[in-house]
Amino acid sequence: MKRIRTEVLRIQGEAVVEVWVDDALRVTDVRFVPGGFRGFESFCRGRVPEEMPFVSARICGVCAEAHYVASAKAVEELYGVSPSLQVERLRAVFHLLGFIRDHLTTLYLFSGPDLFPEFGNDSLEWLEKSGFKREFFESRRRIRRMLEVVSGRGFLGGAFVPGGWTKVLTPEALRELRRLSEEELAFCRRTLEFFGAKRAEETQFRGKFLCLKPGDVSEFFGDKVACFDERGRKVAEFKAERYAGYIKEKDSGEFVFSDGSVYAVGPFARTFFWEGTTSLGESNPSFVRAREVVVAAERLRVLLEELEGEQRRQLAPKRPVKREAVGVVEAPRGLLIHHYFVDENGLLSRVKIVTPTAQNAKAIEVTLRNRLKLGQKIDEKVLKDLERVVRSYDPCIPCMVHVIGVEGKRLISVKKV
Amino acid sequence: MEVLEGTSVKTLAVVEGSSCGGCNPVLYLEALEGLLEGYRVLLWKAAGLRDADASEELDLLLILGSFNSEGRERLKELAERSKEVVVVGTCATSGGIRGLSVFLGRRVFPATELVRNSLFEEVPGCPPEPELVRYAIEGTLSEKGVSREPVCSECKRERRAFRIYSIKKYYEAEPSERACFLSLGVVCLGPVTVKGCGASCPKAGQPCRGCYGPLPGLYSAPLRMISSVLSATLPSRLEEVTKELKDPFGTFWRFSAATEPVLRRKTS
Repeated sequence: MKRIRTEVLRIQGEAVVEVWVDDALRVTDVRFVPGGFRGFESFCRGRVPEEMPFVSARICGVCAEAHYVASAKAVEELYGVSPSLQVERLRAVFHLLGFIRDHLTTLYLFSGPDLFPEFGNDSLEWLEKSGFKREFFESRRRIRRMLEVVSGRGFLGGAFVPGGWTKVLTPEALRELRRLSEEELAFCRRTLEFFGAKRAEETQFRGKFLCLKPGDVSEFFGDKVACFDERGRKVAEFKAERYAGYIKEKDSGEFVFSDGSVYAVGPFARTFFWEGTTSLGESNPSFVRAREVVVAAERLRVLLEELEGEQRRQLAPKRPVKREAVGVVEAPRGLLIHHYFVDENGLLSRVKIVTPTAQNAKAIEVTLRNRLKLGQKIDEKVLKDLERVVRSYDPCIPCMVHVIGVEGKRLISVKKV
Repeated sequence: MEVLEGTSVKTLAVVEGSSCGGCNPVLYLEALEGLLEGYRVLLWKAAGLRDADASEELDLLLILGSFNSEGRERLKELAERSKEVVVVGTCATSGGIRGLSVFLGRRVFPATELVRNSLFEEVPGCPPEPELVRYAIEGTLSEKGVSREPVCSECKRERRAFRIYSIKKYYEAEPSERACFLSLGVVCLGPVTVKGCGASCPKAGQPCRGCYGPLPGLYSAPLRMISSVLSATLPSRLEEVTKELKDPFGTFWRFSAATEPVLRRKTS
């Protein structure tokens, strides 16, 4: 038995696909192995809860806005305050901007070379040859500017206070945001035109799909989770705070649905709500992402129209009023859950963060296994194909490997996802 | 990548340790436009480039993230064969937020400790402002004064003489308030944190949380900060204020625990 490792390039963070082969190079097993543990759940214990949005945004610099907003929801629940509609809209704008930037990065820099290999194999060459470089860079600059206006910083910003948002928008700032959002929407539509032209190129995972039921403020906010089967039939709906009764984390660190079946989160899962789709049909992940970018940019425009400069703020008490709280959001890669427990001193005693990629790990592995046939001969082409399969899930390794038990044993078991 | 004709081709590698990925230049390629085109990239996994057997000399190495035992040798080897090294982000310059693991007995190595012998430029920040990375690659960072002055030198909030009567939570300060956070009784790490962000958090109504890392030249920036806060406290309120400082580790050592001299255990 030999092990062949291939690094997955063009993803966030580092991961390898391990293929186990016999002496004749025939496949016996395949695994997806992330790298680089950091241990947020353990070192966040003992911290004050109100700092969590800032701290947890550092779990992942790529989907930082999603972590920030999910954490903000959990913290507000702990302190017994709720944001005004204006504040909620501002946060949705903040989240959507991060969402669009993230999906565009995935589409243009990571998936682009898979879908249109004629433009080159690496992100830099691809951007140059595809002719999108100027527009993509302009979009990036626009999003960065908008985030700066909304949150004070173009990257990993945030103006959260329990029950409010400290960045106040002037009428000029609002006008600028509206103008930029129009321009961004045009680019997003062009993105859909381009990526939408490519049809199915991946065998997708078939199983259960979980996502948030869209709320009033944004498609990506909500407080109920729905579970669909592959035909689009809703098999369960539950309040997000009750997630632990429906999602099980096995000792190995894998997440499965309560009945033991494998599930996936992310763009495909959200498809069921938006399109009323009953089948995944011919859709490919990049097409779904490109469509989501347009949905997000359209919602952004609507929210900015509804926003007014003034915001009211509810002052939070000095200490948490609850001992436990859950915050959820649809991150670019899927359902993200922050679950906090506080002790009698008002400090965090336990932090549980269920990230989309950690939930998808099992589905990635299943898809990899489906792709390979037992006994198949392995060569460079097959390995490249496996890399592509992993990439189609847009895995975020920093998110996935935030988990680390104080006990080293868990570290090893989680690694063997 | 296409290289303009007539320019000499330099080589570049980007290596990432443990980080959130927020300082990876794939996220701010646009800020490096016109600069990266002059390089042939040998290694940059996030951009899909890997020339694993490359043993050729590097002109520039960008290092992101902090390191544990894994990958340290590889990093040293890359740094040794690179003419210039730029260390990007607070995880790489001072261990970053992951340094809080030190309190759980885990060591975290900022890249700066591992490549000590190589000539390098440091760009702090969690994440760094993309322009600073550009300046570092161009070799003009030191002219901008980053790494020498505190965030307060960029902060526009009104400074005034103050005494501390009680510690306030950051959310208790009025958003319309324009005075220095410390004068309001809110812990702000601006005085002991490296500048470079343009005091973006205080501008947005949030105190500085120290994401650019500790100001060099202070033996222990967090201890200095605690000492300053307590010195400004009215003596009769000292006991109360000390109690109000909940979670001092997470507050004062948020981004600097990995390099804290008081906490450091001797390791090889």
